[in-house]
Amino acid sequence: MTSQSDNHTKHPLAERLGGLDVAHLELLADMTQSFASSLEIDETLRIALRKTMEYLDAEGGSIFLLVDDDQTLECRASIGPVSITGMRLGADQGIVGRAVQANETLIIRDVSSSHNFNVAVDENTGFLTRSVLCAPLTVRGQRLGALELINKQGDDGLFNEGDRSFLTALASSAALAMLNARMASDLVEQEKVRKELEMARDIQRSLLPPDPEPGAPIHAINIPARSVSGDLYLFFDLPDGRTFFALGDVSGKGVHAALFMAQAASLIRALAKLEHRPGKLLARLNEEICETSSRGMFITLVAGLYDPAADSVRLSNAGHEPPLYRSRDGEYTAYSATAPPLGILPDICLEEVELQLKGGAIYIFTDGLTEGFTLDGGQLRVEGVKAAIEQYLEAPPHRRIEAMLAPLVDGDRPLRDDITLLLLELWRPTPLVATMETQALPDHLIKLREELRLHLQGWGLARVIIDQVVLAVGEAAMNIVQHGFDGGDAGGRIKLEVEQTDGDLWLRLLDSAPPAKSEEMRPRDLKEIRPGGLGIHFIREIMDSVELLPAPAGWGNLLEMRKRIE
Amino acid sequence: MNCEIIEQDGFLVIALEGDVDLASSPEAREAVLNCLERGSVLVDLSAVDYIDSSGVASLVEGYQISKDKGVRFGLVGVSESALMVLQLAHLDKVFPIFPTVKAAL
Repeated sequence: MTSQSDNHTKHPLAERLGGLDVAHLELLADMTQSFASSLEIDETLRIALRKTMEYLDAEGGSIFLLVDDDQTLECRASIGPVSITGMRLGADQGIVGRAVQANETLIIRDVSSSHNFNVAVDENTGFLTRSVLCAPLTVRGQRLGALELINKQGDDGLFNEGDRSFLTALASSAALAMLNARMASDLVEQEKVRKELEMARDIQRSLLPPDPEPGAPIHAINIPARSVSGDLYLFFDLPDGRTFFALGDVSGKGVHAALFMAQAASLIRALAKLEHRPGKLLARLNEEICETSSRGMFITLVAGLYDPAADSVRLSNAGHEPPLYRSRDGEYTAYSATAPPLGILPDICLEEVELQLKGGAIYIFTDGLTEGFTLDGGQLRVEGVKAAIEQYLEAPPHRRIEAMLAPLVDGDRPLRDDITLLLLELWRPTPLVATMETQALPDHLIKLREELRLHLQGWGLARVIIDQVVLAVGEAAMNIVQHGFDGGDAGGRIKLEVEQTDGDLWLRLLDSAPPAKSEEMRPRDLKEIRPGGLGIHFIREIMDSVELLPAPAGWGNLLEMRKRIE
Repeated sequence: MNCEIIEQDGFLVIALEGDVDLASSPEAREAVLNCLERGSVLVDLSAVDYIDSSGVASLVEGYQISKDKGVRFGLVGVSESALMVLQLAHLDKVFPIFPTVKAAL
């Protein structure tokens, strides 16, 4: 047990801390630790106040915090004969206010003579204040409030300079603990809100269709500006082979828009199973929304029906951004709305348009896309949407819609509005094509083979496939030089066209030699070991099909070979 | 194509390099036939990037002549591309194939 005299032995560290003794330091360490482990702010305040009062033998104490943009000091904890918790003062009122404004620990031995003391406290509470010690709570220049002690109970009943030094040291660690507790409680609150919004987003996400296979005709993407979205899209296959799709934008933003979106999505899904004609469907939907939705809520919507057998699409547009049709050769057609948004007028008539896809694509999007910010701060109007389409035309649909939205999402600037984009397209990858030509001379064939090898390497084909294909083409070209051009002819031409489509490699060899007879293309019996005649065997062994076809004008022969590469 | 002939361990070793095709196989054939006049022959295919049916035909011819003459004929260090071609021709089991000249002793 530490004796009283030990308690008051001066410690080297204590000297530096303004003459604090060991007991002061121990208490300080104890309290700092309590603060550090307590992240609940009122709990922290009570600990600070109680321990300080116990040590300094104060009759009463209170902690005031700055609130209302630092305009007011509010008492958040008080211990003593009379509770003043909840009491509010102007930020510069009283001793507390002066300590906060001056950012220094004040000691007022005789309160009644201080003009800074708010006499009203005494009149209201009946509590007689004789002596006050008040330290500001400050962390790195940020003012939080002040800790005030009233009336020393022992000794002469007055606070002394030792008490003042101690409270100054304690107040700074108390302030740090409070700041930590405050930040922790903010985080807890933010986390709660974040979790709830995350759940709402998950529910919303579950209302949207799952991502289809990369080869599917319809792909869509939705990026909410906040956690929840007011945009919606859906598509599903009907039993007759047709596909229903819709994309819309509900009025307003945030949670109420998200709830309306959820209601609308369910309604569309239910009605679309009964009514497939987009115009009629939107009219029914309009009636339902007019009857049930709260005043001022409406939705702009495009609904459509895709018929793969007829290669046709029927569209109806209620007040929505015009969908864009891009034809195979790059012509754009916009399908403007023919009716107001749904939920405004009870009886509306919705027209339908029908179009043939013919290898083209339909882009349907919300105004979040047309009005979205681009990286340079400019707006991506319809022209911007078209430019983005053209830029990523080669990409498969599910990649293209992501790429189109990337510039709007990647910036530091938050999204102004939800962005939703739906793409309807029967996508076929662009074939990989290469053409090379050479003179019909033996020492020119190496160049043809090397060029072919480079192309096939560039297309990422396996080494063994490349070796085989190069050999087959080399053999065929050699045959042409030997037999078609009698061993070589500087005026003779050989052209090779290579194309990769859907897992097949097509190789077409054209030559300007006189037409050959197809019986010259027969392989020999391998059991007979003799030189010559192996070339045709190699070609037939390597290729999945070999055919001598009628040559186009200007050419004598066309040999078409196909190699399965998947 | 490059063609180099050295004598090693009692063999005439013909080292071919590059593409053995219609343009270059006559040179390879001539080397094989000339060497067979002088004794047993090994053809080193380790540096061959490409060999087609005309190149293979030269090797078949060499193999047949060696039988007639009663000398040895074989291939050493057959590259991956060359082996693929020999396999397609079903000749990988016909020619004596050795990893190195020493292995042929």
